[in-house]
Amino acid sequence: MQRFILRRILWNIPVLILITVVTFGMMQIVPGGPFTAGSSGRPIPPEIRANMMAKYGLDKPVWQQYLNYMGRLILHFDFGPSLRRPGRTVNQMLFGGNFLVDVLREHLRDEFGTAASSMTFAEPPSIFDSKALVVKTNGEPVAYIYITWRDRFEAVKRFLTLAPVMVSAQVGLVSVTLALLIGIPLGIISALKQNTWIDYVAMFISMLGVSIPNFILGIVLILVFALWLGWLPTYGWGESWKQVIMPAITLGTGGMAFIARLTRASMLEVIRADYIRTARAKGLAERVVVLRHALKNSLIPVTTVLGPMMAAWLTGSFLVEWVFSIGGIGKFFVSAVTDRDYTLIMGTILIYSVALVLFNLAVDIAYGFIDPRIRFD
Amino acid sequence: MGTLMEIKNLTVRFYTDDGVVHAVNGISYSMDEGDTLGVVGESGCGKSVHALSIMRLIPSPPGRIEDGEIWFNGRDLLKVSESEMHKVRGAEIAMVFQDPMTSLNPVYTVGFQIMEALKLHQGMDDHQARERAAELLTMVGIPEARQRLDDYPHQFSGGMRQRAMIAMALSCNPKLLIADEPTTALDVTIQAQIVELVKRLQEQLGMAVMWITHDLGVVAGLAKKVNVMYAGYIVERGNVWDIYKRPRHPYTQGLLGSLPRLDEPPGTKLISIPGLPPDLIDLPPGCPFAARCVYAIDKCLEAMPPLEEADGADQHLVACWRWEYIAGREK
Ligand SMILES: Nc1ncnc2c1ncn2[C@@H]1O[C@H](COP(=O)(O)OP(=O)(O)OP(=O)(O)O)[C@@H](O)[C@H]1O
Ligand code: SF4
Ligand SMILES: [Mg+2]
Repeated sequence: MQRFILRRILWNIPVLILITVVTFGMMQIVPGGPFTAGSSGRPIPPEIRANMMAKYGLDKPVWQQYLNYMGRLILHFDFGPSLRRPGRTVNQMLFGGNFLVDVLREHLRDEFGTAASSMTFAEPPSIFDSKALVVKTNGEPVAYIYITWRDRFEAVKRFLTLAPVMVSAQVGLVSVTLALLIGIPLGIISALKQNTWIDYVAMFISMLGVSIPNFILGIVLILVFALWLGWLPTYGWGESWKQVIMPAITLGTGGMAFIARLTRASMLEVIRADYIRTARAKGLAERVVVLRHALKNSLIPVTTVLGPMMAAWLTGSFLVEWVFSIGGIGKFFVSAVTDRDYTLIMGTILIYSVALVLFNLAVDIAYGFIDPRIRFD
Repeated sequence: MGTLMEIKNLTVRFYTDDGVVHAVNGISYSMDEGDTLGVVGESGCGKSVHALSIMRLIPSPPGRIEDGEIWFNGRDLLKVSESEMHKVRGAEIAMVFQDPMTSLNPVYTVGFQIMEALKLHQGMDDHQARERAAELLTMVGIPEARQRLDDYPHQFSGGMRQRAMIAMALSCNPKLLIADEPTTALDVTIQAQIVELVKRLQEQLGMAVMWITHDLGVVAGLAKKVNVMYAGYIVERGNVWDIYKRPRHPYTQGLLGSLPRLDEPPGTKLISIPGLPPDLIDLPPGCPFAARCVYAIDKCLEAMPPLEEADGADQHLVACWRWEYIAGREK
């Protein structure tokens, strides 16, 4: 089992590297570059452009640019500066920067009051350090600040709740959970009540769910529940549970409907299987037959589609984050490409690729747990 | 010995899109405790449907038990509640099915599936059930039973799965074991082993066995009584030797004629009954065998012959208008 996981992770490393090569190559092929037009849309004079290209190393041969990029990424986990958002790094944009700095700054304010605003850290603190050196803006050391477990915990907590990449992950996770928690029971009930009104209603709903594009669903939800009824906020994420509802429904409905239909179909097949007859012939109550003997088998096909479905979810998430103004990384996916913000494109694509890889790994492990005929070797 | 089960006028139909399938048409018979009954007939004649009706496991819809009584241990199983039926299935009546490859749940271990019935009907805890399951697997001839409990069905061969199914069926000491073609999916040597196994277990445990098969050869070595079914009817019934020595129904005679015989030189052409069984959706009135019967007369097309005593022999019943004529002709 551990060997299986390890091997899968190792196998995915070349895949991820290939993705970086392909993405890097495609960015070069697509016409235009980060400095062909200014933010106002007016063309940038050639001499200025040459300067900027040189500043970011874009004047070097492509292979050298690639190696530089990968070197920084692998050695320092540094995704580089954003090319179109001056003063911002891709790490900040994707991961929300260094949350430990914020936590420690709060300590400094408690300690030194307003004077703290003129202090910084000699080196960016990390949760693996035990202390950080505090200096004045002119570099004069002030004091060591010790990093406690509490600080580390707080920093990690803020990362998990506030980092854009984590916000996107939360939106995705809530939607997947919703899709599974509603889709699977809906499919089971439909199958067990096949050709009754319950089945017809459930399948009608899921047909709607599959066919309505999620941005339309999102806009309709906003119109009805935010603008018309005023029950739910139109935008945002992470401040109130009410903000979760509409994005989760918007992103989760398609998958939910698909899972419901798939569960129904597979349940209908499983419930006619010989081993279900055996279970009944044993004298088991119908509830036990369904929940113990049929359910696990009927989830096998559902598990196999979850991996591919995740890709659809990612594209959906850009839209949902945009419709509900959620501060995830989805918004960069489009803007980074239109801006030709090379480093941001690379960062976003890599993050999504890693998410896909991890999700597929989780699905495969779950699959192995459900179906003993799958061998982890 | 007392009567274990008495079936009266059992009638089962399936309401399908193509029409009403008359799968079982008012059959009646009884079985004694510890008895062995063979049920034979061509594919589709209602053997399985009649057996599943006893367990009330007819898929419904489309199936429906239209009429009849199944008296078992003092009560009519067709009248008892579903929860009462849960106590009958697996505990008083157990069933082994045709295809051992698909009859065990692929996602649970063999041990788990055997223990399930023990915990349900005998109130055993995990430990007791596991001990008993190991004993049962040993009893049906699976070596190293204790280790094999944790195997999944796909780790068992076909013959071993059928042994495991038999162990599961016998786990709660049923009074009746229904074996629905338990050997058809297995190769010949394994078939013989399974037949021997059931024979041995029946001697050990004393339950009644209903053995459903196409194969009259198997029945001869196993059963005391035989029901010959055709198109949802019992067309002949009797002690196994009466059926073999003096078959009275033309259909039974045809079935026996198609049996390979050891006392004939090899290569002798097998006789098979020409024609096909009737469509159970529009069953013609009269004898269902008439279309294939060389003895058929007008009367046969008009009314179904009753199942009546033949030869005056003990419990030899036949449903044919002309059995006396046919019997006389043979002499
Ligand atoms: N679920 C069902 N729906 C519709 N018709 C059915 C169903 N199950 C059985 N039947 C019909 O009932 C009739 C009797 O079937 P049954 O399975 O009892 O035959 P059988 O004698 O066991 O045959 P075999 O030797 O092939 O197992 C057949 O005509 C079959 O088509
Ligand atoms: S009743 Fe008539 S048709 Fe039916 S088996 Fe006898 S002779 Fe043949
Ligand atoms: Mg059958």
